[in-house]
Amino acid sequence: MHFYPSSHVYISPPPPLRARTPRPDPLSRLCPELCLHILSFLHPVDLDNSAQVSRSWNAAARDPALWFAICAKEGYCDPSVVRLATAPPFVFDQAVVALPDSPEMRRSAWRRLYIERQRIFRNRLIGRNMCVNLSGHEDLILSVSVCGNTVASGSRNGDVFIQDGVGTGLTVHKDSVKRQLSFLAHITGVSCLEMNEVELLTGSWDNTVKVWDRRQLMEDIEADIDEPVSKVTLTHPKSIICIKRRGDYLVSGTLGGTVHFWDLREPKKAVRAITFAEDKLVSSVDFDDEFIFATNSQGKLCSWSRSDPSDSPVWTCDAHEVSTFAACTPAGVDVRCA
Amino acid sequence: MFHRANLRNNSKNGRSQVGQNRNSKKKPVAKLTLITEDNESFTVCKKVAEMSMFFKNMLQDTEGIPAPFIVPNVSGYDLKKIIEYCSYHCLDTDCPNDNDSLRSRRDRKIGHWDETFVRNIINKDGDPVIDNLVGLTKAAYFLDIPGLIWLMTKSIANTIDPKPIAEIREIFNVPVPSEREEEILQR
Repeated sequence: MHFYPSSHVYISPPPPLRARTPRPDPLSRLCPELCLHILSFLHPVDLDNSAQVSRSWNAAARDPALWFAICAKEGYCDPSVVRLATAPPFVFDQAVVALPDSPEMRRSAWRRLYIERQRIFRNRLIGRNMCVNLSGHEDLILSVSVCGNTVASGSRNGDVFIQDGVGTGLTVHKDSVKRQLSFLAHITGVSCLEMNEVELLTGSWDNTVKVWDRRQLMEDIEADIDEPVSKVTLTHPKSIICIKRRGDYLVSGTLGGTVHFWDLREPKKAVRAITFAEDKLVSSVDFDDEFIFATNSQGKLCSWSRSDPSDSPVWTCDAHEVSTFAACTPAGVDVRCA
Repeated sequence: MFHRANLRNNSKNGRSQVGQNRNSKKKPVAKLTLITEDNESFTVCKKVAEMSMFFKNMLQDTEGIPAPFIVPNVSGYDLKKIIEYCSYHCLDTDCPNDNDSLRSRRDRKIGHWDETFVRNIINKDGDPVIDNLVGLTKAAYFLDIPGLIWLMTKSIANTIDPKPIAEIREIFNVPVPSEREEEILQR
């Protein structure tokens, strides 16, 4: 019988306790490119989840490129469109309308587009946001603009309808139209409309762009004044086709092929009037801190520097054979043929 | 077929000395000696090494087999696993190893062999598995092996995938932020 004294029993020493030094996040060892690659496998829900883990995870999981890829996969945007812009060409979120130029907003725009579309999809599944007819116009509707719960629309005979209490954002509730006001804004068609919380801008074939104070306008209409007076009127040489407003500035494009840049605080004279192409209508305009963009019926897309007063464009693009109706975004241009 | 079975055997044993397969007697197989950062040396045949774009380009540039090559930025353990992966997949036509076909098939499932391969990535020095996954991803990225990068990143994504935030924090050793911080992150 063998008997081992206890001193002979070999007990392996316990593994040294690892000092609890804070081990860094393993993902921080990887380059950002690989991190994004890992996150790109996640489902959007998990992606949003992992954004709440820490600051660095948040920065990675909110990357616009990831959300752009998700939107492209879901078919919410066209991935073949040359993407110069970091923001989607259209976002129906009222927050974006209020704050279009903040970098965080621009950064999260694809994500919000995805969330918005998912919400619409879910609502449609459970039979919530139904289509609602906002009738009332006596002539063709040429333009429409949404701000919060309010929809404004302009028609060919110069009427503008403001329909209040339609719903929140895009969720248009049935039978919830609370108020419908109309007034004669222009003598002919209202070709373009832009509305924010305070003001309403209308551009018309009668060569003017009018800025209306919304509160004043409501009071006037309710007091039965047939033709309320606009706060500011900007006079142009030809019919207005398109306008774009950011902050205190406004760009308008006309039928005669000119692009006008206005400072709304000094409405007497345009800051700049650029001749794009003689007698070729300017189909869309946009601008950012540096450049003014415009497209015309010839399919041309040009941009001018805001600091350089000459008429010659900084950059021209001729890619479209047909007339363009472009959606321009501040960080670049996203063009669709029409 | 014999060749393939042979290689599979090798990798199962975890020995991964693929360069010494028996085929070499019949016809000389070009071999490459690799020495890692921590002085472990490996002999691999050219075909296996060419799974890595890094080595492929290097071999094309140097025209011929260079003397023992010191691989920077890659540890012995990582290289062992990489050779194991490459020696299996250099004969596997099902698994693409170029960026274009990977992009088009990025949502495919992880194969059976690959799954075992990932499961066998063990705790080295008591480090959690995730550290080794990340280390291997880094090495694969450095050596530019698209198939392995895909596999590793997908595996890491799978560890994140259906888990609650607290669990992710535990796996990745992220300290729990303060309540105020958490509010900011939730936005």
